[in-house]
Amino acid sequence: MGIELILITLLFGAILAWIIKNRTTVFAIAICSSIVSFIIALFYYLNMERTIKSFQFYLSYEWISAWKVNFSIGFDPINAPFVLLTTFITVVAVALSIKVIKDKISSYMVLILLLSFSVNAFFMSTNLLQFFFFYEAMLIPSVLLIQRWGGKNSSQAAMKFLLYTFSFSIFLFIAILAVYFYGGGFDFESLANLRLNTQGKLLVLFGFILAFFVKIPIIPLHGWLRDTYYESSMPVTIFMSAVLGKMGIYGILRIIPYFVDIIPIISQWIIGLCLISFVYSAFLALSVKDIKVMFAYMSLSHVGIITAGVFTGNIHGYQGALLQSINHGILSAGLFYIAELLYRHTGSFDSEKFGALSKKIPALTFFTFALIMAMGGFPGLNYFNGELLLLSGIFRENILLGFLGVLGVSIGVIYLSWFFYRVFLRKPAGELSFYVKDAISWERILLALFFLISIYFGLAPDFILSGVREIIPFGGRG
Amino acid sequence: MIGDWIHPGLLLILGSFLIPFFKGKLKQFYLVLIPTFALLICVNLNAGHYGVLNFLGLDITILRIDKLSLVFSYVFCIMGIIGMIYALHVKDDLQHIAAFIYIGSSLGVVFAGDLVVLYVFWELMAFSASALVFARRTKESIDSGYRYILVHVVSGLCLLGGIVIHATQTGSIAFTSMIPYEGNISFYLILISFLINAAVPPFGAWLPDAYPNATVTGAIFMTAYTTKSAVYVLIRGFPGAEILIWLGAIMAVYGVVYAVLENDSRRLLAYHIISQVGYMVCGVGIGTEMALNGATAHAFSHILYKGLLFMGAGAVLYMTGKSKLNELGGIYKTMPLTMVLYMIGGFSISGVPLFSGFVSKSVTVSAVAEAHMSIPYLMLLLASSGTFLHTGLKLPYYMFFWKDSGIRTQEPPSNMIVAMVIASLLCIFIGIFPNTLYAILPYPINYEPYTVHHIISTLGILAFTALGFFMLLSHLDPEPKISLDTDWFYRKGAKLGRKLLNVIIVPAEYKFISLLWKRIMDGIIIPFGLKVNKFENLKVSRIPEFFGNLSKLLSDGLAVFHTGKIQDYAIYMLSFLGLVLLIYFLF
Amino acid sequence: MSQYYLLLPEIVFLTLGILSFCYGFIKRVSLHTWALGFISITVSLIVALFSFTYEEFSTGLIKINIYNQILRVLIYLAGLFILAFSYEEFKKGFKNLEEYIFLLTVAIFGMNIMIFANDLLLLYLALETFSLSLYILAAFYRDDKLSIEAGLKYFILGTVSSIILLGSIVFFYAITGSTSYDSFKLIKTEESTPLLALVFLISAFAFKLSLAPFHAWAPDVYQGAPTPVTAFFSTAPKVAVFSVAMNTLLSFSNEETFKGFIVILSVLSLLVGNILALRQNNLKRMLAYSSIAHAGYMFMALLLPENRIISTLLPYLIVYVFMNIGAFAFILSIREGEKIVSYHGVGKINPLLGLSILVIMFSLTGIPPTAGFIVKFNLFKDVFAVGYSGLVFFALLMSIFSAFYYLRVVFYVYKDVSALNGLSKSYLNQTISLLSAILILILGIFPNVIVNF
Repeated sequence: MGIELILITLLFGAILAWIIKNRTTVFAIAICSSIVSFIIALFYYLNMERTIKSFQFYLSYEWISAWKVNFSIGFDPINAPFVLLTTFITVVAVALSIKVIKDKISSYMVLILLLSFSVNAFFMSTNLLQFFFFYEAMLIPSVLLIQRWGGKNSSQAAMKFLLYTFSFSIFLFIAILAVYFYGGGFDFESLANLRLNTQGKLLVLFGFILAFFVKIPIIPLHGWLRDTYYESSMPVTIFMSAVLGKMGIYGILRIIPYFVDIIPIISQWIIGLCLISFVYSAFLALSVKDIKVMFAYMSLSHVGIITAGVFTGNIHGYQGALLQSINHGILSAGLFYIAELLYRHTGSFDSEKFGALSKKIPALTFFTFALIMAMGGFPGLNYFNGELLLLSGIFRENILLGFLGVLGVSIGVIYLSWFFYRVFLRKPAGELSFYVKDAISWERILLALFFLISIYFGLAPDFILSGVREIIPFGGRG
Repeated sequence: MIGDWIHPGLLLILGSFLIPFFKGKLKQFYLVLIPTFALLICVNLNAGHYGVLNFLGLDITILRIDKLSLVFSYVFCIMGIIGMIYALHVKDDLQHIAAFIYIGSSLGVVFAGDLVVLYVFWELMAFSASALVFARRTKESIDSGYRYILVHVVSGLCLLGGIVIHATQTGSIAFTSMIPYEGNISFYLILISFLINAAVPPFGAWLPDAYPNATVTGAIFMTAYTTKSAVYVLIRGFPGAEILIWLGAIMAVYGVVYAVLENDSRRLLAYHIISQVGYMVCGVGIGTEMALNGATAHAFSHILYKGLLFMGAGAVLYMTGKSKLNELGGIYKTMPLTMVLYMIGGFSISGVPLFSGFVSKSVTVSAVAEAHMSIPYLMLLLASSGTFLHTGLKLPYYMFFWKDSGIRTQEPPSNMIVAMVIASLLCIFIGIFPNTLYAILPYPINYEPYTVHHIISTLGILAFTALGFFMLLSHLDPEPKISLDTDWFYRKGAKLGRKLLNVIIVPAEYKFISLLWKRIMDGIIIPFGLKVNKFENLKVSRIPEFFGNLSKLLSDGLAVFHTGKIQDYAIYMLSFLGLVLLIYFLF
Repeated sequence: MSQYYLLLPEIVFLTLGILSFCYGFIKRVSLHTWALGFISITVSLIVALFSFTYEEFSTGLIKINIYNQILRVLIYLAGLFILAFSYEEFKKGFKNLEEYIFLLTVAIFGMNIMIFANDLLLLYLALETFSLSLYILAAFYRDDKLSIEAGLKYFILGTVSSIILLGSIVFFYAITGSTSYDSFKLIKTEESTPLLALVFLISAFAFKLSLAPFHAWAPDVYQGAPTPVTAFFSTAPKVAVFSVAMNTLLSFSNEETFKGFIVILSVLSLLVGNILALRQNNLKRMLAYSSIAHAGYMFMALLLPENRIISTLLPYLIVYVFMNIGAFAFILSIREGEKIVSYHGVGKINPLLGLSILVIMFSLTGIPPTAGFIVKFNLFKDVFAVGYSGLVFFALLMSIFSAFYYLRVVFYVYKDVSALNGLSKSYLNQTISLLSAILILILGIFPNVIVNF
């Protein structure tokens, strides 16, 4: 028994939740299975040897022998933090859905657990076919989750999401076929043996990039994001923001080390694109008044700079991207959660209608402040480390691009503090401020947990990053 | 390793978290105890580098101890003790926690061994200081605190950018002089960041905006730490940068000029901070050992006497609820002790012999003279005169004497008195025994302040200024508005200058931050954001629609062929066959 | 073994069919007829399974190997399911159930003979046999104008294609002097006449497979015919004709022009099938276009070298049959199931039904973890390996469109409005749908069973 326990608990929970229809029991099952899977993931994470290059806790079952593909999963320092993040966010999403979702509970829990299952399997896979398999498989639960429990335009949003992701995944399909054909197999190592010239390799890389860029997303492939985030229910939004985008980033993190020789050809353009996406969506976030949309654009914005970091081709950017993905997952989950708390008793996300909440809901104000400080890059909290690494990586590449990054960071601070000011501090209270209630006890614990994790990662980023430097063949000094 | 050193700053920061757990007398004891501890640690520290950690692959040094950092740390700790005593009566824990963190992070800045540590503590300082502004909880304070944060975040970002570029280009993060890198973009970024914190015009408008809006006790802390730690980092990083000479001189005069127009006692004092810091910046710019000594010494004594002045004005505010000069007056009868202690501060700042300001300011001014920079020298002298005029004469006159404003009050609480007494004693002590100060200066100094020539020249300036003041007394009456039409003194002076001041710069200065801020935000950033939003909604979300329409078009196009008639279908089949055969046979 | 032994299941089937027809003709009790038909198919199926042999055997007219037998079993299964569907339709008291079942019998019989044919004339005979039955079956609802129109169209256009087939047989005979498949190996394909013959042959196949541009009959016929018959159209004939295509065209697999022709046909079918399905609101018509598209995908397999054709085409056919059966079962379980608006809110009423259509639609699109993805991946992998990467890219591009129209159904099903029409009371259809869905899901997750050929 090994890390497949994570998957098995989730699957088992999903099956049980499908059979049992009683609301409370379903909640209990879902929470238990998500917490258990998280604990197992944590256990294996802590036991992982940090300096080994190959996969650990490796398991392989015969799957499709005709194609010489096995169902194989394993941990290594790159994908393990993502698995940890996913299981954690699953717990958060399930916990939140207890308060948010009113009907069709059992199918909801089934779908969330199945979604978590496929995403975890995606992160843990060690060969390309399985990678693609779960990359596509998570579409089914997520589309249903968006559409069935969403707002007015949820079908349209879900269709947009599906079409965007599915359309660009054909590039991934072809890239994987090319790797199979020219590289000799479906394992990740085949990427190292590609019998192609530079142009061919570039094409393969582009195939990967196009598919992943839709998932993350990066301008201009981001058209699905606003509607999808806005129309889905909050736990789904949290899951999407914290985890789904990271699937694309993880994909790039995985394959970039094999393309180190050809990256310098295109890196400046791609980093430029990512940073433009970063700044563009920062401006977008600045201009909207609806909190949920603003957070959606904020999410879009931050993943831009993370992706830029991966393409820098040096170890700082890479580490920064890995670290920042996890940080961003935690923080955006926290912030969306807070938006949900504001929405809960008032039914609106309009920031104009709130104000002067600091006295009324001190606990929530404190946590919002803490998370906003973290997201703004306050040293000592987790986001600062990532930003430092990412910016040094980008500056090493090109100073102008670095300035673009700094510009985006400052706009980020602006709209975040503006949000805080408008909603919590501005003196004349808005019409909905009266209804807002503070977070209840276990939610406070959850928010405090976000904060504590943020502090912990701020002070000890090596929890995530140790060992990465040894196994990545990049240059760049400390 | 830990046993070798305890970082006094960290002691304060961590200690702040325990504050809410104490009550009553125990809390008061604790509040004074921790800064005292910090002072004791500072006194016992040996020079060297301590606390080297490996963080994110970098070697960072948390403690770098040498004479320069030590002298600043002493005065920071001393002011911390004094300020805490002054603030013992405050019940709001947030202020105490913020103050501790503020002091602790300033110590962190002073002891920082490399740029990364510097940055971390720099940011901490900004946030804790803004908390002190927020703590007053009035609308203006909240707005003002918000502006404070924004300005300091910009400063932090400049610093971060500069650090990263510098580290990328040179490969080291050591915090030493940046002069060799003059002309580099990192040089300018870091310099700008430091200048913002030092309240150098044109970046300095945040200071007179924020300080008067802080709480009575909070302002005491704020006067000391942000600007003086900025002076420290300027000494450390840019000794001898020529631009600083001019900036410093301009600052000195600038502060004084604006103080002329002020009605609010604390804002007037805030402008004076700018003026005094100008002396220090000018000294840093000169860069000789004596000049740097002068800047340090001036910083040391400035913290003490400015703190004293703010304490006095704060005490008046606390007891009467008023800080505007036109509303005050005649309270010398009811607050004699406060008045005396305030005057000690006033004499110090004016450079009256036997007080600390005399021995510290003169070092700087002499250094400027020795470097043969005549214009800055004159500007500094002018500023001295102006300082005495306002802080030494005008302010106490209008605050305590003048007319009877009808206010009857009593002396402030004993803790405030005690704090002021300690500060005053220190001012006098340093004035009488200047060598105690000189001994802890970073560079060896051989300066004798009490030369006959010097004393006479100083007294001369002071006397003339006093003469001018009393002659024009009636015309200097403060009024609540800023209009100066009726003021004869300024009609006599440069008419143009007055018009300029009145019409353009005065309103601009007062609303400088908010206007500039508004201009950038409303004019540039927000419209850009809205344009981006429109673009997004118009163009980008149309992309899926576009493709959908395209597909529909294609679909309809193809559907034309499916007429439902068998003949057509048969024709399609057979003609396709024929076409294929034709092609095959032709090629 | 004698050839009659090999054809034992067919003989049994035909005999039982004739017998049950006679019985039913006399007695006219629909339940009995139906039961008899059911029994006859089941018996033949069992006989087919028992007579399964791993050897290859061929006489002059018949050739049997493993693949043919598997396909035979597949056709019987399809027939079984169609019969099951028809039960509900005819319970409404429709007459002439006996003729219906007999026609089905004849069609299945013809198809099976065609699979094993080793000779062009036998091919033609079998083709005509089952085609004629299909024409009549299409027009079975004599009172429905659409049904009659469907039958007529199919008949006329089918005759045209038969003529083309005859033309090709004539050419082959002229070249080789014999109508047996074995003589194909002797043909030198540089001259023009073999090319002509080949083109004609493929066109005849293309008609039956509804490949563009020979596809135009499909939407009208599929829409007009009774739904179980449509289900039959979309599954069994395709299996049979693909089997024949494999048998005949394997010998020519090195021809360049021949490959070009295949590519053109595939591309056109993919284009037409996917793009035109977008605007359909009638689900049967949409499935018609979908089967055009899938035929296009499957046809690409003929570009592969000999051994790979079977390993890619066979799994695809199997999965395809079950997907279509499931889809049509779904249509039949809903009252007025043709219109897409009838699907509103079905997911709430019957979650299992919603689940089945979910799996089936995702499988038709080709999204994991369904079997549709596995077989598509299998196919594209091999087509890519022989160098047709552009074709693969085009096929994937077209499947993006398919995502839209397949999943639109799913969204309708799960919309939160109350159902307009409600379900028909046919638990049998729902069960069939569910079973197909489960099978697809299982094959998608553990594909070893079908991919290992």
